[in-house]
Amino acid sequence: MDVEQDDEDRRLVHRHLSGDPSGFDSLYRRYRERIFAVLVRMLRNREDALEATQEVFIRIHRGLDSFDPSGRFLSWAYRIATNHAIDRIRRRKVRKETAIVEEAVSADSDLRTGRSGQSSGADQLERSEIAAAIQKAVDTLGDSHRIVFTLHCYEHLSYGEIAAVLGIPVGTVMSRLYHARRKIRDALPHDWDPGGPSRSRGREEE
Amino acid sequence: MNDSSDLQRFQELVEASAHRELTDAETAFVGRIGFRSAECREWLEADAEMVAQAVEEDPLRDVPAATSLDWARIDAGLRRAGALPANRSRSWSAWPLLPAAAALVLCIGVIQAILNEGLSSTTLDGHEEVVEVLDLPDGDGSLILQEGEEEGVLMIILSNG
Repeated sequence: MDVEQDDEDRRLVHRHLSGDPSGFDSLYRRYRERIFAVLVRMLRNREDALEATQEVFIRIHRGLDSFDPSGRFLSWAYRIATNHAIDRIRRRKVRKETAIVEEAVSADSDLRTGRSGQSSGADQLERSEIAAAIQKAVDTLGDSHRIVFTLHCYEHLSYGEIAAVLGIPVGTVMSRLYHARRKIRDALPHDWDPGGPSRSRGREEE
Repeated sequence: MNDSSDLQRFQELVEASAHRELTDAETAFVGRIGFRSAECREWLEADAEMVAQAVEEDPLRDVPAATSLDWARIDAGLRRAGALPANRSRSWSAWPLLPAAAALVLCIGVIQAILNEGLSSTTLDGHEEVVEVLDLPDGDGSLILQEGEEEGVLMIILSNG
């Protein structure tokens, strides 16, 4: 979140409020990927996240006149997205989606890191085991802990930024994050070694 | 309060927050000391590195981007809700004179045709002319005749219509 970006966001909000529809259009195109990503991680379901993205931007559009320009647009948008995610989670039990995990693993392996072709079967097995453990652990987190965990570990927001997004004290962010991390740690396979042999081998190959 | 008692209280409160709601003063203490004391921060983030490395293995760390089809669906929903301008108005605004020009060309074409050919060519006198009357043989397939009928007649009528 940088200052120039924040200023540009405020200009776009102002343009929208002045009656120019291109203001909201630009904000939407600027942040739709990020909002979609955060919703996927919170809902852990691609289809739900797509639907939710649309609903969140409708809420943003309707609520732009209540946006406080002294704050950050992205924090405000994250807040709407996280509240909406909580609503959806509470409204109905979110379907467990394994397809997205498989799809993402494949994309991760083949396109992003290129590790797939070089890594051993055991390495792949270990990665999918960790992925499954994380997913299971995150699913067991309460809504408030899951959201703090997602914003910090995936969106890389600081304690202060999370506090601003969620409108809660920094101390609450700290304690929630502490418990979320501990749950994730406890859910990991006991023999998992973050600096294990497959990683060492990978580093040596580089 | 010294550092060790701060750490102890910090730990107690953070642990207690799993079972009960902290008071405003307790929450404020956690936030303040969590920032100020390196020792408290270190304890708070003891699992951070391990969890961060585990998150590296989570496929959701990098969410596969939504496809253009996904965005088209969302765009359509936003248009229906009035959040985005309608497609039609956008395309018309890009070509504001196109429909007017097409209508003008069409009108000129019709007027020119009327001037060249007049309107009389379309009138018909309604006269019908019998060209030929054929006697069809039985069973040739041209006309299915009912049993017992002796002959069939096919009239081909041409008219100038």
